[in-house]
Amino acid sequence: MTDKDTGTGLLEAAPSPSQPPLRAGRRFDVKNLGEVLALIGLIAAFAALNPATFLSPENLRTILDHASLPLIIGVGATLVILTGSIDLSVEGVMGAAGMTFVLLTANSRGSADFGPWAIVAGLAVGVGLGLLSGLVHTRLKVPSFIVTLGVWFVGLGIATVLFGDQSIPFLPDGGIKAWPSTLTFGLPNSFLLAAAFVLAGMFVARFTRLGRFAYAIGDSEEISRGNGIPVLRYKLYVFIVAGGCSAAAGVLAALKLGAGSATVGVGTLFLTIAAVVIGGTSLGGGKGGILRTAIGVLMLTVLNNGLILSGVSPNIQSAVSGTVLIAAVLVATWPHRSRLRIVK
Amino acid sequence: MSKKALLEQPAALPAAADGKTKSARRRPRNLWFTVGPFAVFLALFALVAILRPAFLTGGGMAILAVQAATILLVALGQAMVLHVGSIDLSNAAIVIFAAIILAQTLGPLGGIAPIVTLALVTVIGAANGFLVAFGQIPSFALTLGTLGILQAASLVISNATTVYATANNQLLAPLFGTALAGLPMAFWVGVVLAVGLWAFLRFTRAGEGMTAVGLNETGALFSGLRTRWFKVVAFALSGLLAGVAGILVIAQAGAASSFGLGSDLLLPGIAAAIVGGTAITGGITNPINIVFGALTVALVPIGAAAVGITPQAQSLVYGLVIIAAVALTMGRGHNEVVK
Amino acid sequence: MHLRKSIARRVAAFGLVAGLLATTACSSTTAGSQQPIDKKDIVLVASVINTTNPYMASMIEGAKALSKKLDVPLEIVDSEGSSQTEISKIQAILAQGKKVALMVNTVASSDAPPIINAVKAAGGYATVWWNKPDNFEPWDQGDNFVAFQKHSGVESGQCTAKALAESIGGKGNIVALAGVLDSTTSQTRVAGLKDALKAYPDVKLLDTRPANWDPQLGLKETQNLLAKYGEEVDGIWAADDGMIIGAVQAVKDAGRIDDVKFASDGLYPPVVDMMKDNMGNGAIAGETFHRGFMAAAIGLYTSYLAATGEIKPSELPKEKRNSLFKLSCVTPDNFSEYTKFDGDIDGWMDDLIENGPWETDPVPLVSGGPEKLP
Repeated sequence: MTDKDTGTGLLEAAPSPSQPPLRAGRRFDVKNLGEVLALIGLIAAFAALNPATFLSPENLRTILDHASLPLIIGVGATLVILTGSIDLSVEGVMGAAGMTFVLLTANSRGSADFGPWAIVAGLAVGVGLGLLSGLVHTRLKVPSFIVTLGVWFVGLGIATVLFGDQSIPFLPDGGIKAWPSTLTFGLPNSFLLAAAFVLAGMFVARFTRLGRFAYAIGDSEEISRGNGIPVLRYKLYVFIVAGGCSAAAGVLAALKLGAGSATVGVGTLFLTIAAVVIGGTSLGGGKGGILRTAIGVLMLTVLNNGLILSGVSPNIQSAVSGTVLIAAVLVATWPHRSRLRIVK
Repeated sequence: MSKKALLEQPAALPAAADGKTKSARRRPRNLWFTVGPFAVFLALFALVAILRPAFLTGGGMAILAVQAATILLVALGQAMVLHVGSIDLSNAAIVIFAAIILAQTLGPLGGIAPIVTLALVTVIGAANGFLVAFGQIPSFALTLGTLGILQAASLVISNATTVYATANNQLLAPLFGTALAGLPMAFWVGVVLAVGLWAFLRFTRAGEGMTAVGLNETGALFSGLRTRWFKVVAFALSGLLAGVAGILVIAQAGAASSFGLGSDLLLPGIAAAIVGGTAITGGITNPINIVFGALTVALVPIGAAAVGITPQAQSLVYGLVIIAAVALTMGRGHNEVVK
Repeated sequence: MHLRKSIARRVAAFGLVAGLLATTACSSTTAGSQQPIDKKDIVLVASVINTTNPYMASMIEGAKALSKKLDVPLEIVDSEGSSQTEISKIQAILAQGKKVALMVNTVASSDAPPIINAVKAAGGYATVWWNKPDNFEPWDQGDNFVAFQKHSGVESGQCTAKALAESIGGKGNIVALAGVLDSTTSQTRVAGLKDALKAYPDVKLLDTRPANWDPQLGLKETQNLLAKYGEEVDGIWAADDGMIIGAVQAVKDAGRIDDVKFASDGLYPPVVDMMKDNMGNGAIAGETFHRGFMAAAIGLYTSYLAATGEIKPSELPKEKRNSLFKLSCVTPDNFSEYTKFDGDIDGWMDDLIENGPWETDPVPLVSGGPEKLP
């Protein structure tokens, strides 16, 4: 399959005949199997290196807990990337939503206590920021890279302004703060929430108009428009969904930390985008899926955890993640090498 | 949606770039496209100067130029890569890597240390280019990975601590020590490089080839241009310019550290390139405008502080101004697909 | 039609920016007032690394309180974690023409030379807190670099390590959370930790991981360490309280709050509460006491005195120009002695102005730097 080029759809090289026709959410692709095998391979390798600690129930729960935030964000990020855009505002939206949530629920500053409405407010902030991104992108035609970059700073700024210059707002002990790490069926609640998001995302991607149009828009925007898809409107929806996912992740992160922090999302952008790419979703849009991103997230989380358990110096951790990323993409794209292929 | 309409769309881009064959209706927009970034910068600078006149009289422009110098170099490198339609997320990491190497070699190697550093980072940039062009790895993913590798390399060779340039600092002193028309030499180095790149893109065959690759890579490919080598050149230039920025970091701070001066240039660099009118899809770049893009991006935090915006709100202002600045300076076709 | 639309779009975007800058500028609170100050045209400037870390927030509070007491206007510089932003914002304020009395908490050691050079060129006076290059001394740079001030990192590490080791009975395993690896503050405190542990051969330091002064990272790294070492962990040491807050949360989640002891630097208000409530049966074993508002006020006041000419830096003894201030070692028994300062910042400012920057309890000058690593 070829990737996008900047010209018109007519000049794209023809799809090579050996590839099956593109179908959204095709499950039993060989490539999909490849990623799962890679994940299993990583788990096996680390289990062999650290038999006592890696496979212990506490460690597995830690892995699932650490994976929960990128999984939730990955749902929204995948949808945006499927349409061919990108969402860099994740960390800012997390900060703004998390801070809003903490300040509107029972906290040590005593600012307010709206109970469950605080969560709604946090999500609303994220949806609002997603709406901003989407509107500026679709109406003012600013590339999504720049819009979401700006909204990242806007979100961070909102969180900082809300924080003000008073003390850190802490969540009280024994309240909802304990929810993410409580175990249900032996798994942490944070992971179950993330799994619910992933399943919902997969449903949306496969069975709803939003999902299918996202794939279509990503594959070729001109043809989609020509077929009557209201492209701008669905792009807007996709950004709104992504904003909502980031907000949910922000609220969850604030719960886990037990306090309001503007930088509650630090590091998640790299992890999520890398996971999306490793999972095999094309950054040009039109190919990939949420399940793939989920596998990518699990791979990276297992990798990070395994490296720490193996005592690898923190200095070279980013090198290992980077190499894995390049290797994964190389393996995914090697079969499609062609002199005539355009890669951006 | 006729075939003819589809085929006509690419024409919108080259016409906007060279500005010769179009109707009178396009001309004002074209004029705006050429002077847009300068106008935006001037307007913002004027706004700050009006709200706080002391900024202008106290040498605000010189302070701006100091900050803008490194951003400009990173933005120029990024623009070269954007010009051929790719993106380079690792060039900010190359800045710190180069600074660390220079700090460590300046003592023992003296005058040739900068040359050695530049050669090394150009090779790294070219390696990026090779993997993208010949390995056919998408540039976003590749340079994201290279970013991680370079960050780790920087931590390892600096042993996770600040590396001080212990000797021969006077070699680099003129960069920020001497001033021309009130602005430090370092800034003028960036401007000269920008003019050089503009000439390169406009008047040399390699430059025109890169433009062709950026505008329509398939067409360029079928026309027999060596598209892959142009990509390698673009990434190598990005590495080289990042290396120059690394030299500036050592000139200004005398030290290199993974979280000190020069460690957060990626986003401002990309923002500066795009505010300077570079199209994110490729093919349209005016390096001279990027000078104003870098000045604008540097102006926002300084101006916000000078004008008296409360510290907590400055990040907010930064985001909004960047979005607005790009919205103003972008050259947009009518039916163009915006990703 | 398209042209008009795109012009309208651009005008709208520009209007947005202009309006935004104008309104936020009009609503600013830190611009100088117009009252007659003293004949000197002095402005206090406090530069902090960010505004959300509690220590930095405390520094801002101290700067504001001092500014009010002295009746001198104040500008706060938020470096947003970036050296470049820090340097250029300070330069922008210097460019406004007033005489600047600066206290800067540098983002990185290497920021000090460019900042001092800029201050020198503008005729201002500066005090640097916490981080500067080792060979860059105030007496070599002239009067404009008034002083370099900090609390001993080695002493901090030694005090808290000792308290932690004692609390686990001199026998067991601990893990350590370092700050930003690059920071001399973190490096000196970790060095103090390791030095003090030499006296406790049965206490083993299993692992040291950087958590960059961030509670979120402290939480994550502690989770990883608990996953790796499980029940072997008897104590957690952190280079500052920000990270300990995250670590405590992680241990609570693991249900081991009654079994693990903590020690770190700073005695931040949340940790004070933990000690008051006797959380986890005395889980907080040791702390050190110093405050951001005290550091900021001491630094600002030092620069201010130099700016008004009340002290002449070249005539000061070296220990007053490269200074180590008293660091109090706090345990659950004596922590209440120190909490009284948090409730009366203005009162403390009065003490400071009366006694001068080097003789104000609880942080008088102890000795001259530079700090020696053990």
